[in-house]
Amino acid sequence: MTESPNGRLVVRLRGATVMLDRFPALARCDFDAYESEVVFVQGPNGSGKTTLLRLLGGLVEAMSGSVLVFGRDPKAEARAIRREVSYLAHSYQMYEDLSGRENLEFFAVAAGCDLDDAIEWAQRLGLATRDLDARFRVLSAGQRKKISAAIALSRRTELLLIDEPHALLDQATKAILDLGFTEAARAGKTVIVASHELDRISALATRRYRMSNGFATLVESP
Amino acid sequence: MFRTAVAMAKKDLRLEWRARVLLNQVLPFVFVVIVLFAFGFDAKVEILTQVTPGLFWVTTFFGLELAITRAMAIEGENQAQVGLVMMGVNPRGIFLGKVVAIVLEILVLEVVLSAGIAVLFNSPLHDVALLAASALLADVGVATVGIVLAGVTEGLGGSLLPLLLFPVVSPVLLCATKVWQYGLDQTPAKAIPWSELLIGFSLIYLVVGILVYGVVLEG
Repeated sequence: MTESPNGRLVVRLRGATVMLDRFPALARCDFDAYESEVVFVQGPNGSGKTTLLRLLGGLVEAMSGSVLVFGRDPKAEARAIRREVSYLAHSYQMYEDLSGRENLEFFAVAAGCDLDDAIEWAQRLGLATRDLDARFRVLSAGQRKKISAAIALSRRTELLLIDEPHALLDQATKAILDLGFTEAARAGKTVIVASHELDRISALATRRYRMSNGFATLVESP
Repeated sequence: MFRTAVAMAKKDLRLEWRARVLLNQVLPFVFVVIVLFAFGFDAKVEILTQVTPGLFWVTTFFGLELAITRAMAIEGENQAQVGLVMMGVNPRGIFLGKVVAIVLEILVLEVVLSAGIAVLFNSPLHDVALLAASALLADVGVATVGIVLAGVTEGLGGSLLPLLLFPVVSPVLLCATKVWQYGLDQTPAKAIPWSELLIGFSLIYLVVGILVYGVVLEG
């Protein structure tokens, strides 16, 4: 991995193009992220924000260009890289007929994260014991999002890929989540956040990219 | 891998217990099949005894197919499978956990089905150990192929799974049917070559499934 004045280079994209069917979801995209950074990715719907995060997680493959995460190809070494990556997606990625606590327990064992940390995060995000013990399907959209976020934030990973974290959440929870991102960056992690909440994330971001039609443009650098 | 497999199996069994898909959909179907056959053959015990192995395995195959479809649908809800993939969860553990859960669910169905056959067809079950062992092996064989094919055909339409599954698992079903035939006829010695074939097929399917499921999951 490359060292620079900004720190250790964690993500590096050069000319990365991703085709979804015949649609260029990312087009010759250049993108960098360093350790201890909160990188803000903004852009309208369909501009390629989610595809960028999925590319970094090895869920989609670049047709051309180079993609390096921790100096490695995320598609070729997907499993090894994913142990170092947390991904908070649009979808909840939880089981409807398990309670919030049971979901946390399951992912703690399967993914090897710390259950106490996950429960602590869930409580910090405002979930009461009663909410954690209710079946996932009866929880509100915001409560569901909090459980997904608790797992993503509690995993001891070096890179956090966060897609629209503030959607569905109340103001207090948004603030707690933002604090979590800042704490993660201070601890040396890299946080890449795709969001429409320009004011909120701009205040946290150390680097900002604007996405448009699959292109990424660096608009602000520390 | 085994820790993940145990967690997956416990999770799938808990979800099945709460949703009760097998209980509400498969068991009534099993009951209807047994009763219809009993009436259809006019309670002629000789004929019923002859058709029992085939009837048992056709019914079990439908149950397995439903259990496999359900096991994969669980992972489609809220894209939970993407979560598993993104957390780098061991695909072999996922695969083994799913196989274990499906086999345990189907064993329950098979116990009910066997009891129904024994009572309604007046056909006592001999060589229970042989029948149970062959059922377990065949369930493993069908479940492993089913999970892999369900992963391959995901997003291509649900009707593809039964079309692909049956031809691939037909050797397993054929062997299991023959073992049951000889087991029920009280001629277990004749079942030995079929049992060996069944062990071979099921083990091959299991090993291939463990090896390829990671690729299927990524695809």
